Amino acid sequence: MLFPSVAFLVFAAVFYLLWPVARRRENVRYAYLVGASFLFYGWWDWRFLFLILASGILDFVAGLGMRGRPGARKAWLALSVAGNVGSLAAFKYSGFLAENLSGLLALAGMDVDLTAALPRFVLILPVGISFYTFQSMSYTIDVYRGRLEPTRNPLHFFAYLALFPQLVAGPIVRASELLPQLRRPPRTTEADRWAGLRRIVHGFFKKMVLADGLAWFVADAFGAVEPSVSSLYWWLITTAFAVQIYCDFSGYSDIARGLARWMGYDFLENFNHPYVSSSLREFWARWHISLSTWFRDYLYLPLGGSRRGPLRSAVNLWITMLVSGLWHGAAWTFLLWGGCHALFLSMERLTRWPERLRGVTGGRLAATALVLAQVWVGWVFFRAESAAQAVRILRTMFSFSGGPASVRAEMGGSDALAVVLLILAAASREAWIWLGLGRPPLPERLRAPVETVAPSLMIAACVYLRGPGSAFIYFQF
Amino acid sequence: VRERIVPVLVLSALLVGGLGALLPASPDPEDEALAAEDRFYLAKTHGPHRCDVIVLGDSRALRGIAPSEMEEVLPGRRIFNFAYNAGSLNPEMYREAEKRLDPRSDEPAAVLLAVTPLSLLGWKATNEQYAELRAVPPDEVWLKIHRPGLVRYFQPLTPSAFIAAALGPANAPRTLQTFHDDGWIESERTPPNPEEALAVYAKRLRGRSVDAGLVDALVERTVRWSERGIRVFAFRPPTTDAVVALEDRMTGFDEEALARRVEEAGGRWLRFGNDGYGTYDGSHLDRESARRFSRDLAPGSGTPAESGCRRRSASLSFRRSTPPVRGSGSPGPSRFPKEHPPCCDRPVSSSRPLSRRRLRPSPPATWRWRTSSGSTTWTTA
Repeated sequence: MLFPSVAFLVFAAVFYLLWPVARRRENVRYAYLVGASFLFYGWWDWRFLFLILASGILDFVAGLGMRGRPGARKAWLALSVAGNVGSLAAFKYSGFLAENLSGLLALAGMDVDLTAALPRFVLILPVGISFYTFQSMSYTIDVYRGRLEPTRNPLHFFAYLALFPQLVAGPIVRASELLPQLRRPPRTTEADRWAGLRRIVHGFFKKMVLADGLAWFVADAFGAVEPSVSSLYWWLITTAFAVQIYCDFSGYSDIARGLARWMGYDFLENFNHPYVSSSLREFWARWHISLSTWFRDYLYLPLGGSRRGPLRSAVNLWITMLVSGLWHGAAWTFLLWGGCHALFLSMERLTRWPERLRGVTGGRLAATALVLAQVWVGWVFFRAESAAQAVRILRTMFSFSGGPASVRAEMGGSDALAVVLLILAAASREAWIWLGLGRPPLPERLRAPVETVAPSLMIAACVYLRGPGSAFIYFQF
Repeated sequence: VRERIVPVLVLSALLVGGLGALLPASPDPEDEALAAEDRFYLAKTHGPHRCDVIVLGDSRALRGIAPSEMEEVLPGRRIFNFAYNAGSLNPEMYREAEKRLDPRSDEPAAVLLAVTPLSLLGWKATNEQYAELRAVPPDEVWLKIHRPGLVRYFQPLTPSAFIAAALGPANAPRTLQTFHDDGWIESERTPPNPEEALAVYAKRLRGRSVDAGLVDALVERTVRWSERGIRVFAFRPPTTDAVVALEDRMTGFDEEALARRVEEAGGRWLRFGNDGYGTYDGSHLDRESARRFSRDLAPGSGTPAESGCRRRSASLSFRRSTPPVRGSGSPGPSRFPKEHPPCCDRPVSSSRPLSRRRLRPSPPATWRWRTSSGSTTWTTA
């Protein structure tokens, strides 16, 4: 079920209408959350439910196994990780692996089509599989580390794993954060509901007006058989994609947080204005925080983090970023995206250029511009249909050929202006944050009316200024 | 805080409801056509069609084969045009086509394969347009097909359309399209541009060749269908000699070899020349030629039925719920530079932006109803 759909509107209305009754008793609350979440997820394809059930049962049993037989903790953990990584490998990476292995075998003179040998069902990518497997794994790993007491109630566990606001595109909420919240009878105040509503409205505005408004132009540019040779055009399109993916994903996180707030639960912030960063390290502390911290805590630090010297630290960084790239998708373009960021982060560590640059006049602005340029290069790999296309686009971008006339010729004056306006609309808020201006300077007597009218205008904009897209980009991960 | 949530919801409802009635009509002339096109493709993809004869192919079949004309020659047959823009002849489409053949029909089942080199290119095998249409959620399909007025009321504004209107009218040529409930898009261009396709194809076919796997799949499917009593007729739809020469040269398409393989597999290869048919863009048949070609195609692809047809009604039936609508559209560069007909070898997205147009509850005075070939169409007076 997509958030911006009539089906979800009806679903949410019924869910929140019955929630005050359902939340009172613990098991009823869990059963209600599980039932609603399964309906939400099964709306795409009911067969996907078997996978989440299998993944959940494995980790629930593994958690109990670790508690019941502490001597076999490692075996249970291995089983859980193997099950989760195995299902990811089967459903997400088998096609990619088969294709590349076939290519390698062909180089050795063996003509074998491994892709054709794969069963058809593994070629279907269940929505949000990467999110819930990571969430599920965090449960068993935390139980293994002794940081979490496993739950004995399967409904409690599945209410955590399948909670519908964050099920398909995060934030990846840790079991240690959510399981205790779920156990307590949730209470919501008017202030919670108001904050939740504002979050939801902001999220929908970012998704439906800004991200979807730009989606068409980006898809058109990257889908063209003969890509444009105008440098300015590609800078504009890459900027449009940077805004699209940020508004799309952070919009989803905002909606998820707002919906959870209405239930009485609190999810951690997932995006914190990443494009105002003046170093790439800062960017990663602000972008997709729940995933970045997951990789930090469950991959980078267990590998040794930065405790074993600069070389080992760099190797760990590269491994983490490449795995992060692969997590986003089974394609070389995602791997290259991860590689790009690993390279830029390594250079940043080595030269410490952000600190040096920030020390000079105008240095913070230059540092932010440099960070954005690096992130934009990464986005080209992330969005491109192939590595070859990405390289072609980057060559064009850095050829600095073609001015505004070439953009008009490529997409028409009105479309170009529409893209620029949408980008400016999104950038204005980031610029405000970058300048550190804080809350808008409104007289106190005007604050309440403005804060009432603004969400209403945003809701109307979601209806009458919405773009043509619908699915969230991160669903495919 | 307590005082804010309810006012926000009430004000939002008033704004959303009021704006729908108050907002001006979009200045974009494509809107009507795009909305009709959206409905046409959704109904074509999601409708519960059952037929005796089904047509598969790409835009040349989509715009060049009129089932209603064929049904006049083959009375009693239910024929459905299941071709798509950038349509690929591949196993997925064969499976989908087969599902639409009525197993309970007394009429012999037949599949018409409109084979072009473009429909056998590997890079198009993803069937982008079809996949996109299939992925549209059922509630959206239902709303767009059955409640177009409601959809129109909440149709969003497109900033580009207003900016374009402010910048001045476009002088791009227009494509007139009439969407038929049997899956055919009747197409015309004013003014026609017979040179257009050649240049576009020359650019798009560079470095691309016919996929041997898709050719094998076609032959294999012909064998399977023939064994099961489903008749297979394959042909190369008429276009211009120049396009045929270009396609053959650039893609390595060997029509004679494929024809032989189809015949050996139990199918029948029908041959049509390009003479006598006109195109509006150098590739796709204009509407009169499409009608003529459909009549020429009919005798080769089946014998007239002995008994009358047995049509089934269903909630999503084209024949009752979606009268075809003619719209006019500009393929100019301002909106859909790479997606719009005439050279439809790239998919037309079902979710592309439509700008908002006020609900039009009844035909305007300058329009009138016309009935032709058994289906109702819009036409200007």
